[in-house]
Amino acid sequence: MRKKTLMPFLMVASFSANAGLVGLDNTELVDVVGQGGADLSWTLSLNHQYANDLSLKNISKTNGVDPTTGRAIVTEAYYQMRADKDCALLELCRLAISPNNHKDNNGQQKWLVFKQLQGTLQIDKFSLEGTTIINRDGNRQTAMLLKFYDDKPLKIRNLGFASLSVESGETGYFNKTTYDTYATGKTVPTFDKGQEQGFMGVNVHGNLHMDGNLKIFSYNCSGATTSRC
Amino acid sequence: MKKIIKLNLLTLCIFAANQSYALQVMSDQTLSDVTGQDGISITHEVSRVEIAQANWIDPAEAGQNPIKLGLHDLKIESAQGNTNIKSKLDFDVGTTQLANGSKGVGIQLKASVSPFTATAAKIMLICDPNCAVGETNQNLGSFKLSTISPLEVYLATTNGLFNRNSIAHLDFKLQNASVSYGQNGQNLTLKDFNFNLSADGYMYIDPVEGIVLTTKGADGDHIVNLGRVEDKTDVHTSRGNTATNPGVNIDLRYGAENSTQRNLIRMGASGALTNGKISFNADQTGIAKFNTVNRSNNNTLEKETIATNGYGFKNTGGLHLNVSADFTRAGNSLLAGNAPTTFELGHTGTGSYAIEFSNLTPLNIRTSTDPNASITNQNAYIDFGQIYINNIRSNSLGFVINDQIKNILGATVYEQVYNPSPTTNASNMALVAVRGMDFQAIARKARFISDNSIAAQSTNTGTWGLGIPIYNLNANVALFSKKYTDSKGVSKDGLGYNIAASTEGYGEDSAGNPKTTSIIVIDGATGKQGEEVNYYAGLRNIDSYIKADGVIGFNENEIYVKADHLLVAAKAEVAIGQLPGSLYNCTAAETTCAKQVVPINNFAKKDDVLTTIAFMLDGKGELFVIPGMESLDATPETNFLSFKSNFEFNTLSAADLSDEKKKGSYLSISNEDTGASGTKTSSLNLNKLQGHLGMNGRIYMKSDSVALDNQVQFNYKSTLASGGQGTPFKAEMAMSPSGSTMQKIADIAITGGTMRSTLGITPR
Repeated sequence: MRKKTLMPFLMVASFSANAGLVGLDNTELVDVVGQGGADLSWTLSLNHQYANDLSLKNISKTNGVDPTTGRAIVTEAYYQMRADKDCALLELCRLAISPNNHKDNNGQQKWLVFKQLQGTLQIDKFSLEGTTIINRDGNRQTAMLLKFYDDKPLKIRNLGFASLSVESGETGYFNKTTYDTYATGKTVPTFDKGQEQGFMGVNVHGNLHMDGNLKIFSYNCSGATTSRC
Repeated sequence: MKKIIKLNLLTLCIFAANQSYALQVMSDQTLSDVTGQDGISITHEVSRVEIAQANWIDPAEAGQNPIKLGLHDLKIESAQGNTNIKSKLDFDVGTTQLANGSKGVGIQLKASVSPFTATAAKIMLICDPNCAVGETNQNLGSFKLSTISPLEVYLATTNGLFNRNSIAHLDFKLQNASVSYGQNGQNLTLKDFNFNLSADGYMYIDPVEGIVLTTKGADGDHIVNLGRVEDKTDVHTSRGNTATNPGVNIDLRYGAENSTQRNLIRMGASGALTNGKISFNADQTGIAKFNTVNRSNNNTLEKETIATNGYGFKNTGGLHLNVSADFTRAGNSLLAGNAPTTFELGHTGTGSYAIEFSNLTPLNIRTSTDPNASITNQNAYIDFGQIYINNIRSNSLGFVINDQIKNILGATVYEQVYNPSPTTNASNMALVAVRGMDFQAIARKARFISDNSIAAQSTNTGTWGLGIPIYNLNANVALFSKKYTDSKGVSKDGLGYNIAASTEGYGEDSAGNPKTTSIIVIDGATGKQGEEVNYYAGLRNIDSYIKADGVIGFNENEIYVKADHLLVAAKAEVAIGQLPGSLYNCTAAETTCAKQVVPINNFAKKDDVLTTIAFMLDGKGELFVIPGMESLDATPETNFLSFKSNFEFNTLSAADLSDEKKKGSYLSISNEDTGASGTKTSSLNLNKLQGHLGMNGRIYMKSDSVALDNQVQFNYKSTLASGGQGTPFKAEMAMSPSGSTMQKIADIAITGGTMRSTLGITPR
């Protein structure tokens, strides 16, 4: 539940930040450092071993650091979708969107289906504080200050989906066609054989380093000529 | 030789001492002071008391039969190691000096009861001998109270027993007691329960208010001190006998009788309270009155509505209670050496941590926007409002909601009429009604503390705080007995409930002081103006309404709460700003920023609001509360509170599903923008939420942080058991750019799967 409420909140928070920043001169931003606040750590995992097993305390198990690369040696990675375990029925790990009542020629609802949607995101530390800024009207205003640190990157692990396809039908999101034969009875190559049908897949794996401050504050869009709304 | 000298010296000393006493001459004045040697002292011993039934009969309204609530098969026995229960009563009457200079006749009463165990096998709701067809007496569970130290009461009055003008002193010491409520052999226990107070005030009987105990009277206000009590069980060796629990200590444990109890949660309050008042009467006229606060723009409109449905029983019988008190903070002149009020909240049991809250203040820091005005010394307070307790037979009750909730529900009327009975027919129930409960306290300081079972936590000088103020809580809670089937298919006795409750987001008292229902964190560090900056962030002005009915059952190792119907509606603002009456955190040296005060009605304004969230969830659900494991070497990683739950949204008809205007269960975020053409609200919605969600949660309270570990299972049953495709979690994404019509953007389906979020919070 919290995730659900947090997600839209973050989305809107970033919207309002964008809207507010439009009319702001950077030099007008009075940099006030917040004193209190909280340090946060966050892990979000979807359809991975870490997501399914609440007894896991971290997204991987490491054993020391590789002296040549300076990286931790991962002995067990929990940011994986284990075959037949974390998504026993593959059609249950999908996100489907059917925009604007799209229908196909037979009047069936059309769905854009992200198949085997998965991913793990982790950030070991970011900070939340309050701060005071001078806004474009010359008034002081409180902003939420999010601080990200270069040495605490956003760890993106196996984020993506195996295939994306357009499916038809009232429950098109449950269609489970797989690649088997093509043309007339020709078997598809082993690379694709048995895979869920779709035209593309995405997998993102890496670290996103961010360093800096994000200030989020309220903005009243008055509709005046100087504001962009 | 040496021995003899010593002995001689000793003898001499004894004689000398006696001599000096003998030489003292007693004056007449001294003699007259030697009073109070008389009085009555009663000592009574009993080995065992058995009471078959102790019932409270609530007279019923005309045409209805009275219903009884009682403790049955009550046994009072001496505690282990004591052969008998010894009660002692000392009673004395004497002359006292009154504040106005004259003399009074005071009463001194001292009573103590040695350790005992009182067990009531059954708490019964009885219709006998007037049971209607199909009605039976209801067993609501069992009750047990036991003490390990004497229960002591001391009362000293200055003029008579009840006198509203003359002060009295009361000590009440219920310490380290154990209070249990049980079902099916499992007990929910308050371990080390303390109700330990020392109070000065007035005791009187008033024709309107009934029996009244108050700290405020003819010669000003006094304090009630909730003194901390030595913890006598499971104390870490490093603490010696310095380990204490709060004066009011609520430490919840759960488990089978005589087994290791598991750990639920701990709450406590200690320190001095002022402006305290308890009144007790039978006046039920207010039970149908609902105060609601409607808001539009920056205005609040408080109004009283009398519910027209179902409160006919208000004219006869029932209990009416008022309880209220102010919390003190450092600097209060009444404290006189006593500690200010602190709260504790956290996990319990071996190796656990909690948070202590202090510096309790109301929401506003000042009462005027004059930057040179001093900081307000108003107290934070709790006012339980009007509490009514009745035994009723009903199948129709009215509950009045405010404008905001009415809009979320899409309701056409303010008075929501519902059936509190588990059947369509009227049935018997105990009804606890609360009207206008307020808890206006912001803890501007908080720190992590350790359980007495581990070493004391080194001083932690955090500058953060937490506020969970509650404004104008109205509630109807109906309780009755109800059967349920546990996961093994066994039919068990449970406690049936039916709850309707609401909170108001924002209102102001007659002096313009703000009151709110919010969940906010506070940054209480010193700001640029040299005083606490008081940044707050969180959800503010929460209007909420919850309507639920179902059963609470005690299973092995877990508490089971089933909601056959659950409706939750709420609206809140996600905001960040400074508390009303604070000084803006910038100095005059910074251009255009002078020393200015945050408006007192800041919470009524939109300046701090990032977005507004609103939701209505309508369905049914189950919740399993799983207490933490107790062991000698427990740590926060092994001893934590967890939840398992699932929620199934009510299905919508095909007609409703295809209607863009219908919202069903929904979640929305909205913005209000004020311009020349007025206020415009635009929202983004997830409407017509459908499906079955499973949720698992764990709360880890650590030495300096809190971790929230949550898991959501979409398409709960299929994801859990791989039993076919099931029904996906579906929603309709829509927007309402002008605030009036809903425009559909897309259908969204999450077919299943599991999502987990682990959030760690370390305050600074």
